[in-house]
Amino acid sequence: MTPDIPILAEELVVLIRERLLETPPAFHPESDLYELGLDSMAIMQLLLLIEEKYGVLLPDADLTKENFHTPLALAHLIHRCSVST
Amino acid sequence: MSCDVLVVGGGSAGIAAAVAAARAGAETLLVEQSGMLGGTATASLIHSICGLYRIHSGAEAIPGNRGFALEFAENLLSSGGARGPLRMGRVDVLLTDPSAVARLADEITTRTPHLRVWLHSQVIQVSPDLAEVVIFTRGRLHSVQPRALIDTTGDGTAGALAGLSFEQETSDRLQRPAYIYGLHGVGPEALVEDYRLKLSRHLVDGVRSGLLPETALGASFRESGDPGGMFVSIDLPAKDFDPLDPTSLTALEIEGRALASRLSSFLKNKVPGFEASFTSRHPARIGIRESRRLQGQYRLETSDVENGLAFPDGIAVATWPMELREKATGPKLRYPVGEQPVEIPLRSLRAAAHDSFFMAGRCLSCSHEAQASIRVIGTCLATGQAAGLAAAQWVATGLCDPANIRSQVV
Repeated sequence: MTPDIPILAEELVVLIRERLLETPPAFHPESDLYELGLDSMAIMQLLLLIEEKYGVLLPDADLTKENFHTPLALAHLIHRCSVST
Repeated sequence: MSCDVLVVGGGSAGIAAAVAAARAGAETLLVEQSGMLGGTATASLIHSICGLYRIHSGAEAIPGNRGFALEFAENLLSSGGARGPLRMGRVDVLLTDPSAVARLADEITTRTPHLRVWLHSQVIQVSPDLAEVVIFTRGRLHSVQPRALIDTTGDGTAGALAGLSFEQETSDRLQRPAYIYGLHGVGPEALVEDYRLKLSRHLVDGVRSGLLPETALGASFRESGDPGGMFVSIDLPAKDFDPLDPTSLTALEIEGRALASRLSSFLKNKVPGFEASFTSRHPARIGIRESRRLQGQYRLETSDVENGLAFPDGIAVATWPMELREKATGPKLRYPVGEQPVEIPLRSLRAAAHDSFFMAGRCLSCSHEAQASIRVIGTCLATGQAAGLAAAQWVATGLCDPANIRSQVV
C-alpha cells in the first residue's frame, strides 16, 4: 500500500538525497529539483527507483516537467498512479 | 626553430592561450594533434558551453569572465553558431554547433598576427629544463626551442613529458567519460523539450525488456538546432577506466559506437518520432572529463570553490558548480555556499617546479572536486587567456602581473 502524500514526499526526499542528487542540508519536499541538476538522465534513474520501490508504472502522459519539479509534486503523481492501478 | 610561447593542445584553453599570447606580442606556436581546433567542443561533439555565466536566481544571464570567453561566445552567437543562453535551474548554458566552433577557431587564429598553428602535430618530448620540445608530425620530427610553454592538453601531457609532478584520481572516482553522437531525421514532435521525459519512459522500458543494455540509461538528448537534428550524450559507466591507457581508450570508443548503434536502432524501431532517424555523425574521439592534474604553485581546493574564495592573484572566476559525474547516473551539482564564484589564482596556472611552465584548462592545479567546476569550456577559455597573457608577460619582462591579467580576463 502506498503511503500518504506527506510521508511519500519525505521518503522521496531521502531517496533523492541518498541515491540521486547532491542536495543541500535544507533540501525539503518543495525544493526545486531542476535547480539541483535533475536532467533527463537523472529522471530515468528516478523513474527506475520509484517504479521499483512503489510498484507503480508512471504513464507517458504524466511525464511532464511540472510533475518532476519537486518531491511533493512527484508524491502527488505516485499517489495518483497507485490509486488508479 | 625558436618561439616565445609554445601552446600544446588546441582545445578551448589552447585557442584562448595562443591568441592571448600572440595579441600581447609574443611569437606563438599552437600545436594540435588532430586536424581541427576546438578539442572536446569539436572533436567530441560537446554542443554547449558551460561556465560562461554566473550562478544566480534572477532572470537574465550574467557573464562571468568578460574577456576572451565572452568575445568567443559573442562571436559564435553573431555568426549563428550558437543559441541561448538557456536557463537550466540556477545556471545558464550557451548551446553551440561544433562545426561553427571549429570555423570560428580557424578564423580567430588565422587573423591573429604573431600566431602560427600546427595541426596534425603532437609534442612527444620535452627536455627536463624545458629548453627543447620535439614535435611529431606524421613521421617527421621538429625541434622547437620555446621561451615559455603552456600545457593546454587536458591530459597534462607536456607536463608529464617534462617530468613534472601531477595527481590522478583512482578509476572508481574519475569523472565518467561521455560518448556524444548526432542523430538526424528526427520528427518535429520528438524535438520539443517535454518529449525528452517521454523518451526516458521508452528507454527505461527498453532496458527492462532487455532490448537495450543498462548502459543506455546514461543517455540524454538535446535538439541540435538544425532541422531534424539531435545530439545524444551517453555517460559511460567505464569500469576500471584509465584515460591514459590505449587499451582502455580503444575499448571505450568501440563500446560508445556499439551502444550508439543499438540505441539508434531501438529509437528507430520502437519510439514514435524516430521512424526516419539515422546516426549522422560520430565523434572523432570520446569526451574525457578528467585525467592528470598538474602540480602548481597553488592547488585550488574543494573548500575554496565551496566558499567562493578570492585570491590576491586571482585571474579568472569559475562560475560553474562542481559537476560530479563519478557515476553514469546523471550529474551531482555541488553549488558554492553563496552566489560568489571562486577566483582561480595565477599560481594554479604555474608549475611548482618551473617559472616558465604554465597550464590552463582541465589540467591546471586543483583538487578532484574543484576540477569538476573548472573543467568546463567557458572556464577553460578564461584560464587559457590568463595563461597566454602570463606567459607573454613572463617572456617580455621575467615577471607576471596578476592584476593586469585579471583586468583583461574578468
